[in-house]
Amino acid sequence: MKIGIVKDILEANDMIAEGNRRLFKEKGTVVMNLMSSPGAGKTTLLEKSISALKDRVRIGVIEGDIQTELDAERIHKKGVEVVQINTGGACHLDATMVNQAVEKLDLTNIDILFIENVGNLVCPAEFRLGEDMKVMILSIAEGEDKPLKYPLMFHESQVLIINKIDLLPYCDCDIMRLRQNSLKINPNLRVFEISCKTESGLDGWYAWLLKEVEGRH
Amino acid sequence: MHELSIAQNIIDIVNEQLLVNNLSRVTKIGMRVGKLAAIEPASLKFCFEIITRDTNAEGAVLEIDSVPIRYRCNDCQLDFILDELDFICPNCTGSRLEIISGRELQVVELEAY
Repeated sequence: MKIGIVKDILEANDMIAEGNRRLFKEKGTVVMNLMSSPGAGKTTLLEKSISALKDRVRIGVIEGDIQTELDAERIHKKGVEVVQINTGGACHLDATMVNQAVEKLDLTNIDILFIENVGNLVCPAEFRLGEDMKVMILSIAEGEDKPLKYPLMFHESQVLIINKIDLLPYCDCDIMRLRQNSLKINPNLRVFEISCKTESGLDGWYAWLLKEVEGRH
Repeated sequence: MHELSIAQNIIDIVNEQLLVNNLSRVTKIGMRVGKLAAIEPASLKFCFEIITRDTNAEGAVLEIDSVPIRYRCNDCQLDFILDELDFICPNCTGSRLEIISGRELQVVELEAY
């Protein structure tokens, strides 16, 4: 017997992500899914952002790693609510993991929730978590061809943060070419050029974050 | 990627449909997989074969219909197909392009008894 159906295989994840999204909206929490290769600067950017903004907005963090609580410990030292997810091997966070982590947070006291995804330039792009937007970080040392080689991540993101611009004199990375390649894949990308080390460009990022939170309220 | 967990999701869908339709064994599973879904058909079939051994889906054939990446240009209304992600219209060089197919990852038909 032939049965005709149309079942989306990732439907289960998408449905849970939609549930997460409704909850975040109800609680008035802006949620950003932070993605990058390992070592591009996600956790450091969060540390800097928390130090600069925690007296103006209430911040919460969900940390995603295969193993260890190292990142959650760094965030905890900054004095904000943080939950660590250990995937034990999965290379990305999914909506179920986020749903479970959120139960440990008091969303009514969080204006902006950062979900720091597992370091990976491929898989996180495919899994909705219920976020308002996907923010990706690419560091100068990774090179200007990455948007062309990993297009889905760039296509799915709303924001690109180019980090470690202090390394430009020491790396063969043409930052103009990097911008062009990124915008070729996603013309609507909002691009920030920063250095967490020298703090160059961070003010622009903070101002944009504050506007996003104000927009929600 | 993740062909193994996708294979498991396929089996979940199959079992649900077998139950609802009061059937016991599936022989063919028709799928639509868009190029942007980044699923390697050979790898998916391999994983599926491994995890269905000694189950009621053992021996079932996965038929995968590959869906190309189709774009629509919102400036000149051209519909076109490309093998990769690119957002410049080949006709008018506008960049207001929309992806209208190519992201599918679906089970669309079962043959079962």
